[in-house]
Amino acid sequence: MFAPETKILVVDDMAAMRQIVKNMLREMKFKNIVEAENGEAAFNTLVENQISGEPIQLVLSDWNMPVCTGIDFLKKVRSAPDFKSLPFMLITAEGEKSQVLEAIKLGVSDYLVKPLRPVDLTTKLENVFKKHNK
Amino acid sequence: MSITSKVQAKHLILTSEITRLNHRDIEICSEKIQESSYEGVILDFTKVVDIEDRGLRTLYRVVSEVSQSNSKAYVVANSGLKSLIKSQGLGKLIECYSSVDEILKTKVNPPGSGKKKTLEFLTIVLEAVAYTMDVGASTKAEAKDPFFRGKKEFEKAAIGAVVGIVADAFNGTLILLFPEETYLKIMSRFLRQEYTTLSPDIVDGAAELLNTIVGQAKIKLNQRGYGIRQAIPSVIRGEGLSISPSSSPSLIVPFVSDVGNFFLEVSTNLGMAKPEGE
Repeated sequence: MFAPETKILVVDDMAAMRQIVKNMLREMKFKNIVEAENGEAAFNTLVENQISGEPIQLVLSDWNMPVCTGIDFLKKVRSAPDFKSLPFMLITAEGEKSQVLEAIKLGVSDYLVKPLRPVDLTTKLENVFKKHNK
Repeated sequence: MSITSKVQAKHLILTSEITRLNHRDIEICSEKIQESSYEGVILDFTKVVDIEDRGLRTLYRVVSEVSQSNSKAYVVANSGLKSLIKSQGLGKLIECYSSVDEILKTKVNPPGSGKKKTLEFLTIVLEAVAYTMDVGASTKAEAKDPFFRGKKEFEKAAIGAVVGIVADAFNGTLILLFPEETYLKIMSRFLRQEYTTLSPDIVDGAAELLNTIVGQAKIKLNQRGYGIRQAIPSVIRGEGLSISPSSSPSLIVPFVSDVGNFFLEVSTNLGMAKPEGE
């Protein structure tokens, strides 16, 4: 499992949803959580933290967001050499097969369907950790 | 182009623009059918006076293949073409109709199907509400008897969310409304921390709830061919919220829960008619 000091970026245009994810992560003992409200702001946050020497180590991003969607954010991340292998999870309200397939093709580490349950988040984080630490 | 195509009422309509079809023209129809996935296919051969023998056999094969894939295939034929099809012994195998309208009215959208679709839509949405409240907000919510807007007074709502529904065959609006006290309790569970006032970080919680509800409903509805595209909900807020979403009748579904009552307002042009006297 990811260590409690893992730096996590939570991306969602809705403040309530960012709060839900943050609270679940805090219950799992994660402390180092930063936020962004769309894909563009999130990518800037990734770059700033990389430059400062305290890189983001895990991204949890919503799918449907204005300015830059989660899927467009994922494309940007996977095209950037510094972030190609960054663990990246998408959180979607829809979970339709075509959406999921698109995300897998683009290199998403895993995905979650709302409404979120702590047990599902824990399981998925464990899977993503194993996948990225083989 | 000998065969043009369009989509109507979740059916692929292939129209022949020429009067004489050969085997290759029918193959083109087959290719267009295989490229797409619809509830049914209508081959509009109104203008066609002749199909060569090989073309008729191909037509029979195309119609059979569509039927085997759990879709429906209909052929529009003038009297001359109907006689030709019958003379080749294919009259019982290839159902012919006199117009696309006849097919849409009697087969695709028969009378009463609007109400059936409305009921199916409503049932799936209400299940999504109960599921989302249960899993997302640890709240057991139960839908009570719905009523049309204007029929009854209901508790004043202080906050909610509204989303437009755009689908292949209909449009609609969903509004989720909460009295303030109920909202604070639901948000406290949803966000997993205590809230006693409507602070900025919970105001868009209603939109997030509605977004999740629609997402859950959309999965089941689209499996049934509704073709729903989802919009992002907006928050609505005020004293005694009252919204008339559209000119379509608006159904209010009250929910009761262990933290208070809330309401879902549904408005669609699916055919949700007010009973007489309401």
